[in-house]
Amino acid sequence: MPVSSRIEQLKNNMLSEKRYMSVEQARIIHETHQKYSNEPLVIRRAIAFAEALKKITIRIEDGELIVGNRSYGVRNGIVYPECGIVWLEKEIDNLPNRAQDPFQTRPEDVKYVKEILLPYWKDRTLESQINKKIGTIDSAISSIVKINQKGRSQGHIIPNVEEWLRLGVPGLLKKAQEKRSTEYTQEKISFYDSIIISLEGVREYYRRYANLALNYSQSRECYRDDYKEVYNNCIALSNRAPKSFHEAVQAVWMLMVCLQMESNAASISLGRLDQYLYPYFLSDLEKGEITEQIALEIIECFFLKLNQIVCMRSGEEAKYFAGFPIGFNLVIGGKDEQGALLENELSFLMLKAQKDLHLPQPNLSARLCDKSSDMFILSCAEVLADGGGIPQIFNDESIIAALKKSGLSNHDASEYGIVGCVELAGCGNMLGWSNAAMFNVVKVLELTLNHGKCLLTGCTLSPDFGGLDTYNSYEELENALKQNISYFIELMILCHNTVDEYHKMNLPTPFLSSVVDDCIDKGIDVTSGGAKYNSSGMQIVQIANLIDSLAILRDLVFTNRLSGRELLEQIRLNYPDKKLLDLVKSYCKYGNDIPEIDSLSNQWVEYIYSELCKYKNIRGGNFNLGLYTVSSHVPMGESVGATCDGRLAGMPLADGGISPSSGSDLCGPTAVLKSASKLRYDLISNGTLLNMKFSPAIFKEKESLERFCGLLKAFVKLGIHHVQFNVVDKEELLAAQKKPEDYKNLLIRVAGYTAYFVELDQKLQDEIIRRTENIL
Amino acid sequence: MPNNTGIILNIQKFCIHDGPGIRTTVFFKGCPLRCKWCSNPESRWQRKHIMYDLVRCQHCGACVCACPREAISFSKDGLVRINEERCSGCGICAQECSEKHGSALSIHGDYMTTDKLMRELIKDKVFYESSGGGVTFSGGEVLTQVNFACQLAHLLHEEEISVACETTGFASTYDFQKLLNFSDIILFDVKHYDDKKHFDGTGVHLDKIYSNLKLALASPKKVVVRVPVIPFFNYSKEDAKCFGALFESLNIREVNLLPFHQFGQGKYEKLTRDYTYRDIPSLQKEDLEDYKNIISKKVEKVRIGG
Repeated sequence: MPVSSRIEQLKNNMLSEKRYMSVEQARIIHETHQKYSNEPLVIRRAIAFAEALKKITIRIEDGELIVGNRSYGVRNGIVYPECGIVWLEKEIDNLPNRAQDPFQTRPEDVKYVKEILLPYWKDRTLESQINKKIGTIDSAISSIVKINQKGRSQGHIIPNVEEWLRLGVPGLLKKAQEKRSTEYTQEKISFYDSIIISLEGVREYYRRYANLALNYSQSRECYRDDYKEVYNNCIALSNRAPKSFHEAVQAVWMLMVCLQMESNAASISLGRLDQYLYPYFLSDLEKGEITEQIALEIIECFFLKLNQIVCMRSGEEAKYFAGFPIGFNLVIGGKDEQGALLENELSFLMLKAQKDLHLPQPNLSARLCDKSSDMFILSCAEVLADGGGIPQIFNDESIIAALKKSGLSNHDASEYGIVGCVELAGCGNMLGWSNAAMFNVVKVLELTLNHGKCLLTGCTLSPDFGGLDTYNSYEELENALKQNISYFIELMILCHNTVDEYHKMNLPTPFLSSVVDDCIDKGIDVTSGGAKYNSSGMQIVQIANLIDSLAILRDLVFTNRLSGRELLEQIRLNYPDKKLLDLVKSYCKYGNDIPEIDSLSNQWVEYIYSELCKYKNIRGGNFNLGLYTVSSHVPMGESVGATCDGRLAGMPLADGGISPSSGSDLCGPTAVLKSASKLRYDLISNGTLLNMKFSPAIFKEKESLERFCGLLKAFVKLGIHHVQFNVVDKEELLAAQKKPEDYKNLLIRVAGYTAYFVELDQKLQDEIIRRTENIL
Repeated sequence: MPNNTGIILNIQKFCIHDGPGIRTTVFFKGCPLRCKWCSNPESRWQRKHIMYDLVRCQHCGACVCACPREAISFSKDGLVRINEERCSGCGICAQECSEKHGSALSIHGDYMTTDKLMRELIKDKVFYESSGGGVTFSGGEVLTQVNFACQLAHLLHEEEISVACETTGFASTYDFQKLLNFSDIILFDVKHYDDKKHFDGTGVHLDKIYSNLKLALASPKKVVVRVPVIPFFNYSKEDAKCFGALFESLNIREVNLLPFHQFGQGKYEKLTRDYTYRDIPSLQKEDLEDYKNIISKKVEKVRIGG
């Protein structure tokens, strides 16, 4: 069935509207902070939030069934002075013209930023304070460790959507008021007051939308019924918890809008929405008040909304997070604590909505488990066929165990959701700081091979534990690498804990705290450790390059088949000897299901895990291990010299997180999955990322689609946390023609045969490329 | 060659068009047929084989000097020529070439024991189980190494892995019966209905193939007939009609039509061999629709592609 004309029109309107930088909320924040400078920070922030909800210009589009935004315009770039706006000083004039993620600007806004905001906030932002405290050490280790969230609110959290729906705003208000009435310490009274101020603000926001809808319902004849419904929903939600499906979806969206207004943060995610909304859907269905078709339209209106909030980043950041991803991750499917399958009609309707709209948000994540239905797996595959890698696939069988091991209860682990990209988290009970830092272990290996000196600059970056010219055995090298890893982990945690501390001091978030267990019960803000679970996530970058390099060292250098001194000389000079380069490049690599190679990984996963276990963060939580990079394998690779696996200096590291190095997996997708399955997933509770590429044809024929579903079932059995699928397009095939060495693994299906693209003759390649245009 | 050793051209994982589910295909080396359109000419000889890449060749002559059997020479136009009669497939020339001179020579085929093969084939067991797949023996022609294949199939069955055989059916009844016994599925290639034309295109007669096909059809095993549809050989409407009549008379239920493709052309160049089908365009799925419809009148299940 085609998309309804309502959805089509709303989508077109949204995408054709120009994106602007917006300072409306910044003005309110700026004014409130000055006016209430004597109040405690948490109260000041709550007032600024509530003031924004009362004053920000709002609008409703004709035909919208779900309303609300954080700015008047859609997809606006919000200037948020408290965190990091210093980059605007240099970049604001070029903002409309920059290559990646441009935003239009209005002259009066630019003037306001330059003349009012920047002079006042420049030294008061989170970023500048953190920079003052740890700037020197942070930049000294920047090629090894990337400390995140220095200039942005934390986000990376899933609120308790279920409770938000069950209690509604009035119910939450009551809960906070009751706690306040029995509290005597000033700090906690302020905390509860700040929650009450915030929730009152949200209530007011609902009323403002209700009033606007009421006005429009009188003036806009054609859409009168829609506006009446919007009015009814919003007025109801200002007074009570949602009852209908439509009200519940509206409430979920308003939660997201308000959390964004409070934090302006990436990766505030939605959890298992097909589960939370199901009781409302079922009850409406029983009463005969809804059909699947109506529910689908409501879901599509909501999905459109998820694309109206974007994240404005600095030019540098935008290079690596291109397309202003905001990280509205939404989970469908999976099982419950008892192991019962939880797929429902909404799981399928959400897949359908994604297929209809084909937009980047929500970041739809499907939970698979040993009981997943063939129908569900097939529906996921059919949406994947459209490209864009949505939905990404997660595996209950490995994830629940890993989360339990990291300290979550059986129930909370079973109810896990996904934060932002691929990070694993409890829903509504965990501040996981999942993107706290990236740890470039390939760079640590470089320093360990080269007496602590950077291969690119010659600067000394770590203690001298030895070099490839001095180690007498592989074990000696291993020990040195371990010492060096420990050295940098200590520095990384020192830096991260400082960043965490400054978030606590500068950015209390009372509204978010009201929807995260157990902040209200404890009377502690979520940034101070009020949540039930309080971890921080550290990512290892990149396991493929590490073990491919170690395999060469173990099997060639320390067996005297290759001189260590010579290899060191070669990586220092970026492999002038092409013969030696060929030798190391052609050696067995991770990603080909070779147990002797793949098994190298776990020693290091275990070692880093055990090192992280020695520390606690400032909220009393653990450090969780992750193996994903999203796209930072490119910038991180820039700071790494030539590596023993034959990667040249400055080139990208392996992509994703646990993907094999580009072009080194030669045995097809099953071998990649087998290699990836050898990791100790039980120790990796912060998430992993595996990218796989397929040609569109795999998804076009029923028979091969069934094979693909078989692959997904095997993925579940293999106990790998995550996989996502790229469908190869024409551009990629052209790139493969130009640089065949990087595309050795590209499988292509043509005219009933599957083949490696780069092995085909030029003429045939051309023919396939021409035909691919038709397939896509 | 010891009994538990065979010569294998290649092992390809994640094959999704050679029988049901996700499969690993083992390409046995050696084939008695000489099909003019063959896309795997390097699989014909039942021994290791050297392939030559003209583009990479530096015409240095190192291979000529290295060959212990004097099997390599230069032709008048300066190209490397390998004397098939003399070449033992030892690979010394390829080693010499790879190290210094552009890797123009490469060696194809590897002697493998059943144990070594099993270690590789068992790796994807979880995928076979999840998709209803298994292992497919292809080639070359698996019948040329039927005793070895039989041992391998036995080991696979011990691991509860199903075995499909893609075969030309060209062998003695005695050998074919062995294959029939260990196969769970037979993908039986039928290239022509007319003996003269069959001989012309493949170099062998139809009689053995026919009697083995009948043997297979009479067995309880699942048989899928596969027809490579080849221009200037069996691609006319008349051909489709005759195939239809033949399949009907044999009571064949399932036929796959494999459109002619050009994956082999580059290989002929590397083998320095002439190729009858040089530059003849591949057939597309669309090109076979009419052909398929004609056969569909006589056969229950006809599809284009494996």
